Formats: sequence, structure tokens, C-alpha cells
Amino acid sequence: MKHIIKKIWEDTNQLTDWDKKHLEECDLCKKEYLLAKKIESSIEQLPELNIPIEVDKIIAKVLLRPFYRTWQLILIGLWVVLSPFLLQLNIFSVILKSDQVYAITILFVLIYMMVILAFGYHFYVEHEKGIEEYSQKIDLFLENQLMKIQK
Amino acid sequence: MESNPELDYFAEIDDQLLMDKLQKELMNLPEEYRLPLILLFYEKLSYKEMSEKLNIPEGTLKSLVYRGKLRLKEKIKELKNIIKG
Repeated sequence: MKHIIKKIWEDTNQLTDWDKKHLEECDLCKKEYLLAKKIESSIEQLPELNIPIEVDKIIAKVLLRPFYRTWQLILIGLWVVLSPFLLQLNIFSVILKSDQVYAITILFVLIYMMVILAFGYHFYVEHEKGIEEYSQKIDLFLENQLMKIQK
Repeated sequence: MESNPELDYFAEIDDQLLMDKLQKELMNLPEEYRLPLILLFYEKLSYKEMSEKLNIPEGTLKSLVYRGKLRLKEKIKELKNIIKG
């Protein structure tokens, strides 16, 4: 029997007739369905919320920013790690013999890894801090908007 | 679909308490998870509408909604454990 738990947690409103029939037969999926429904209905029954139209642009930024930054960090990390290997292998393999190239590569890797770890940790901390600060700004902005509407 | 006490994960928790906890935890979710959930279930926008409005791929939004709900599920499990003592 193929379970539909992931589909249930994506959106219970998008279940097909086959999925609904499956729910009748499968206790595991039905349990997850009831739980997901409860969460969805708790959101539907939130006290009155007013989301001003101009907030849309901010929302888009909030949604994209953490992902953009994560991908940016991954790409920079890959570039930082790979580029020196390619560069030094290219240079040393022309000048030195193969065992010397090997020894220098090991040394180079060790030094380079230490530098990367130090910088990587620093950027990771800055990255996390940046997202948190940005989220707080958005919270403040939304609260101000809500207060303006309530006034 | 009717709720069956045997299948209801939170049968022993008061409905109002559960609702309050869920709403509180929703507000504590990071924005990237909270806002798609609100737009989808509170504002009743479809994934397509959200995608057009926010200029974000539907797949990304689905993933955010999925992960947001799983986070809420984990938070609510904690409540159940506390109540069970």
C-alpha cells in the first residue's frame, strides 16, 4: 500500500478521489490527515488579520532572502574550495615531479582547510545573524502596519 | 471526514487549548514558513495565485508550506508530551 503522507502535509485540499479512498482504508495516513487538518483549521480560524497590499513586496523579499543567501554561500564555498586546487595543480605539475606535487598538495590542503574553516565559521555566524535581524525588522514593520490599521 | 478518537492524535487535549497553542506557534514560526501558510489557509489564495503575486515558484511555496506545517506538528507534539507528563 502506497502511503500519501507527504501529499497530506503539502495540502489536504489537493487530495484526489483516490487519496480520499486511501484515507478510509489506511489508519496511518488518516491519523496524519486529521492532524494536518487540525493545523490548517487553526490557521483558518486565526483572529482577524489584515495584510496590507504593499506588504506583498516585503513578503517576497522575506521568502527569497534566506534561500538566496544560502545558495550564495554554497556557491562561494565551492568556488573557494575548488579554485586553488585547480590553480596550484596546474602550476606545480608543470614545474615539479609527481611526488613533489603530491606532497605540496597535501600541505597546501591542510593550510587552506584551516583558513576555510575559520572564514566559513565567521560567514556562517554572520549569515544566521543577518537572517534573524532581517526577520525582526519585518516583524516590526508588520506590527506597525497592523497598529495603523487598528487606529 | 469525521474525527475518530482512536485516530485523533490529540484526542486527549482540549480543542481550545490546542487551537491557542497552534496559533501561538504559528506566530513564532520564521516568516518564510508563516507567511505562505497564512496566505494559503487564511487568505485562501491558491499556490498559483501566491506564485503570481509573490513571483516565487509554486514548488518553493509548496516546500515552505510543507516544512512549516511539519514544524507546527513538532511543536504540538511537545505539548502532548507535556500534558502526558
